[in-house]
Amino acid sequence: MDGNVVVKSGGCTMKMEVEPIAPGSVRVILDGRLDINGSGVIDLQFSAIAGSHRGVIVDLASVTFLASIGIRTLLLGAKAVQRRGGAFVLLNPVPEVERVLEVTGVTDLMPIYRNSDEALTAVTA
Amino acid sequence: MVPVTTVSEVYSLTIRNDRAEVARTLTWVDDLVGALELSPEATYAIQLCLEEAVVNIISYAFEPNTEHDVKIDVWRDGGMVFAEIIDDGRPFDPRMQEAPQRPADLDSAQIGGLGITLMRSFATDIAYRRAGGTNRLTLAFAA
Repeated sequence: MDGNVVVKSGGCTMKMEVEPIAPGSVRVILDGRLDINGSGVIDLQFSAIAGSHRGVIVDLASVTFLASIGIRTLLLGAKAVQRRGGAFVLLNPVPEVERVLEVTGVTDLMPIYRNSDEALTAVTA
Repeated sequence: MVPVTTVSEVYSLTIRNDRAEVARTLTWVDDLVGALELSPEATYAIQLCLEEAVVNIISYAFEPNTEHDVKIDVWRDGGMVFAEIIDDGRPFDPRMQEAPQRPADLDSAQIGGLGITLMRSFATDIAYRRAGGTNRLTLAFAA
């Protein structure tokens, strides 16, 4: 998965793009709503990516809605990456999405970055 | 003259106990933003709590392979907006559900159970009553 592969999936509710950033590391750009529909669209592919990389940046800048079902997607991905000693970080959530992450304790479990370079350093260090 | 009441019309939606209906519920809330003069924060909170409550009802309230309706009423009263979810499933008061502990690390983080945590945080009040064989969950939000 480390070639110049751009994977797209989803209809109107959720899009997912995977961008290789370094050997074994990717930036996953999510765009849409991580509600029950949106999570259903990306779940399989997201878990495949998390299960095959040591560094994962999840770019949340274009995610406008996050419900508990979407947190499940993120937690399962983070667990899969951590199990193999990798790093899983979040990038640029919008304020309401960040509030959901804070309230549910997710912010204690995976780092949130505001800056792409810092996120890149965190997953490739 | 001060209006006698500031209560809006009650807007109602009836959905089937099918997960595919959740999206219709959230779109319906989008369509009410103008009529109920909802702030973006209120819209987010209502959609989030409705998704959590409705998914929970559809997943756990009914016997498998049985068809049921779930009714949702939304109305505004002054500076508050209320959403009431009515189902004829088994009695369930989500206020009694224990919220999961904040996990110490990823290894010990449980998957699931976060819906009630979100409802408690994003709704300003949660009321429940069992009446006439139905669950009535009423959520309040600052409009």
